[in-house]
Amino acid sequence: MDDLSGRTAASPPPPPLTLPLPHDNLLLEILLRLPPEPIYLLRASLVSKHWRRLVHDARFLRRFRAFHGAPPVLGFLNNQPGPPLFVPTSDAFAAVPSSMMSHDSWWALDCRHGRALLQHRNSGNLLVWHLMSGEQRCLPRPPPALDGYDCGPGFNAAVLRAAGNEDRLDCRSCPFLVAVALTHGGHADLTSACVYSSKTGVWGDVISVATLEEVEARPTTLVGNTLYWPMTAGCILEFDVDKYSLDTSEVPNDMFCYYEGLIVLMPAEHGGLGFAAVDGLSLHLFSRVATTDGTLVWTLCRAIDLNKFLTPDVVVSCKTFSMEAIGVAEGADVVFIYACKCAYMLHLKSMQFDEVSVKGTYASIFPYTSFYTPVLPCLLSSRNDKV
Amino acid sequence: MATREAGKKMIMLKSPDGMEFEVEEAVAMESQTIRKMIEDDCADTAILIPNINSKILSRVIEYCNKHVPTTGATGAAASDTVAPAALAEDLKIWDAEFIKVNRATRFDLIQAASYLNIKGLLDLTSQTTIDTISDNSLEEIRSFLSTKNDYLPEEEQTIRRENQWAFQ
Repeated sequence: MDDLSGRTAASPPPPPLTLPLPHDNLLLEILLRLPPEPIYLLRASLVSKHWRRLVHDARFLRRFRAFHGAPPVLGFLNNQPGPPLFVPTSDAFAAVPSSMMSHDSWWALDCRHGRALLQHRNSGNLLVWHLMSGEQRCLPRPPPALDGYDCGPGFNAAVLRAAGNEDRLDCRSCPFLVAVALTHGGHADLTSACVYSSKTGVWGDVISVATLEEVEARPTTLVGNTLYWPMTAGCILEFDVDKYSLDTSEVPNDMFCYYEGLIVLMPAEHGGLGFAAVDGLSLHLFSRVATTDGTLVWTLCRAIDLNKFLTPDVVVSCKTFSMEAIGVAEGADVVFIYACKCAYMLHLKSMQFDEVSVKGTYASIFPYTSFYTPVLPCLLSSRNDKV
Repeated sequence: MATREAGKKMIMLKSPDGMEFEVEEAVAMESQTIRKMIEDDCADTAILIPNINSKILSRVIEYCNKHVPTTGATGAAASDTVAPAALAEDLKIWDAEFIKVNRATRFDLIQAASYLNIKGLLDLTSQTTIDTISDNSLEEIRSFLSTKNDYLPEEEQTIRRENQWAFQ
């Protein structure tokens, strides 16, 4: 991809034109319609300095994001041996520096808002990794009450953008939070949590809540300002990051057991908390809704027949080895499904169904989504640009 | 060109070179700009469309005529008996023929679609340029749009270094 060319340089360029250039507004209308994958705006910004200025303009970037709505899924983090720690789903994106990040050393816990959260397999140290720039930040150890982790059961953590930065274009310099939760010492009766802020560089107060189950290392979801962590038998630990409060709720045990516990929490399509699970060859999407008396009930919102997307041999093998929902790209409405040594991406809006090209035995995965994030916005402008 | 039917409200669109086009209001309202003028009661019986010459305006009207949603039995195009998928396919073929124009006309159409705020026409007219930017080398993009590369080699190197996610 040396010149970012979609084609090789074999075909000669067309003859030069004498036409006047389309004016900037026109050009912006066209650039707005480029596909959302970051490579396209990067290519446009490399055409000339003038194009770079157009593409890096904050108003344009905001319009671009609004026009496309959901950020594209560029890959996911995976903890299973075989496929790499970061598995790209777009051949035009490689996490930096992915070659140095491997399963041997790191365990993926979460990925959100441009950053991945990893834990060192030996030391237990937490690391936040910005996948586009490669920037890494080691976190100090959490307070002693939450420092009992050993990659074992009872521990989970999440990374998210700090509140008030939703509109920020440069997610690299955007402050972030890391929240950790731990069920103490193998006893399921007390779970604690606290939050690290990149702005202050310190961990906040430890808060606790009585629980009946242990926190489980399966994907977390963020809905509004609340993080939802799955627990071992259907309970859900809820951490309102703004109010800094802990609570619990649950998926009814019979429902949880029906899906053999293989549910992935996600934002419901019409707001609130939801979950995805596979039943046979059907993807079930549940949403938690409040009844008139305020009780929260889980309702099946959509059942999507996966049979029509799969090849006959995969369908046959799914009768022996069941399919499983393994991850959800929040905000992109994409559910990842595992079947027969393959991961598939189902786009819930367009109903597009893609196979991930890297095959492997996947379990929980953590999708990475991102728009183009301009690197070094001030680059070149001070010295060489003639405005 | 739209044919006048009983009970249909007609609107006169005028190009700056003096040509007048009588179109159904529903057709003209494919343009969000004109729709707003009509809804805000800013439109008299005739609306002057600045900066869009008669040749381009007539093509824009042709597009809007084809794309205006038909309504029930009085609709301009026969849609009651045609499945939506077939209709969409028909539109796609029609669009492909419509856009077979030279680059100058295409840029004029993009400009008109942008001013008149006609999303479908803007998407359609922009697509070839988008394909060029998406699929070709930087040199080919520059050549296609008569743009010169004014980056110094070391500046390009810096950008490559800072965007290794794209160059691995």
